[in-house]
Amino acid sequence: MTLPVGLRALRHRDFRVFFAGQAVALVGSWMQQVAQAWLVLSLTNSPLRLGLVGSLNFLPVLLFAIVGGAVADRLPKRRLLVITQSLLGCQTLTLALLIVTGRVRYWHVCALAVVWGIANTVDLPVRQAFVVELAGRADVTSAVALNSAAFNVARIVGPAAAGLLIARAGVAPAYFINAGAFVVVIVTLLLVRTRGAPLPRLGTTIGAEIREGVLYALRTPRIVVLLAVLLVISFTVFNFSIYVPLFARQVLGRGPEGFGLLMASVGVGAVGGALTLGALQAPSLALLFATGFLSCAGLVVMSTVHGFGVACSWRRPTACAGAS
Amino acid sequence: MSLHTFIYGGVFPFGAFTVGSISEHWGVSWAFRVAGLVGLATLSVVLAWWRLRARDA
Repeated sequence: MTLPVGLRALRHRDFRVFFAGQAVALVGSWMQQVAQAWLVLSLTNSPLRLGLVGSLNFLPVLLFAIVGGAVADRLPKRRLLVITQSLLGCQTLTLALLIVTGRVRYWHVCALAVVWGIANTVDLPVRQAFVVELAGRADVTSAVALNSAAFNVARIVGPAAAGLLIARAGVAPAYFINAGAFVVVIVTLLLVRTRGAPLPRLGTTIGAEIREGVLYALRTPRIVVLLAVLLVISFTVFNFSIYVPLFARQVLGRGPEGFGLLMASVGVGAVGGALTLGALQAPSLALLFATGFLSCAGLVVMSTVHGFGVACSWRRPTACAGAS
Repeated sequence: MSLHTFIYGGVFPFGAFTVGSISEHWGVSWAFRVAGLVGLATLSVVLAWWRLRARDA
C-alpha cells in the first residue's frame, strides 16, 4: 500500500513504534503543565512564585542547551532517551506521591522543576536527532510534520483533559497519568531496534563546534534578525503557562476547567499557525515581522479583556501568530 | 538548532519571572499590557535596523 507523502515516515516500523509512544507522552506532558501551574497557585496563590517555577523549569536550558546538543551527538541516542525518560518519569511520580500523601510543599515543586529542566535539556535535542534516524533522510519531512501534528493535537487535548480531571479529582491523577505515559514511552523505546549510534567524531571539540555555529549565525544577517525576533517573542508572548492560569483565576475567577479550556484554545491557535505556515512555500521575513507584531498587539488586547468567551477567541490569534 | 533552542528556552526564565513579578504587584492585565508594548517597541527597533541595513547594502 502506498502512503500519502505526509505519512510516509510511517512506512518505517521503528518510527511507528516511537511515534505511538510520543503521541501518548505529549498529551501527558501538557496535562502535567496545567497541573503544575494549578498546584503552585493552590499552594501559594502567588503569581511571582508561579513565574519562578517557570524560570526554574527552563533555567537548565539557558545554562546547558548549546552544550546539550553537542553532547547528544556523541552518545547512543536510544539509551540516552531511556535514561532521560526514566528520570522524567521518576520526577513526575515523586510529585504525584507527595501530592496524594498531602506532603507536597512549594520547594518540592521548585526542586523537581529543575530536575525536569535538566532532563529535558538533553532529551529534546536527542529526540529530534533520533527521529531523523528512525524515519531516514528521505522521509524526514513527513516525520517532522507528523510529530508537529501530534504536538499540536496534544496541546488541545492535554490541557482540556487536565482541566476537567483536576476539577473532578484534584491535581494528583494528572501527575499519575503522566507517570504512566512515561512507562509507555520507555517500553516503546525498548521495542525500537535502531540504537541511534553516536555521530562519527570529526576531530573537533564541543567548544570548537559551538564557536563555529555561533560565528556562522552572527555572520548571517537573516539568521541574526530571525533570532532577534524569536528572542522578543519568547520573552513577551510565549509565557502562556504563566499568563493563562493567572488570567483564569485573577481576571475571570475561573477554576481548573476554565484554565484547561483557555490553554486548549491557545492550542487551537497554535494549530492554526502551524497549518498556515505549512501552506506557505517559503515563509518570508515580512511574515515573521507581521506575526510578531500581531502576537504582541494580541497581548495588549488581552489586557482589556474580562470575559471568558472573548478571552478564548483572542488567545487563539495571539497563539496563532506566535506559532507562525 | 542548539542556538534556536538556547534562545527559545533560554529567554523563557527571564520572561516567566518578569510576568510573575508584574502580576504579583499589579495584576496579570498589566503583565499583558507591559509585555505587549515592550514587544511592539522592540520589534519596531529590530525592523528599523533591518530596513536601514537593507538600504545601506
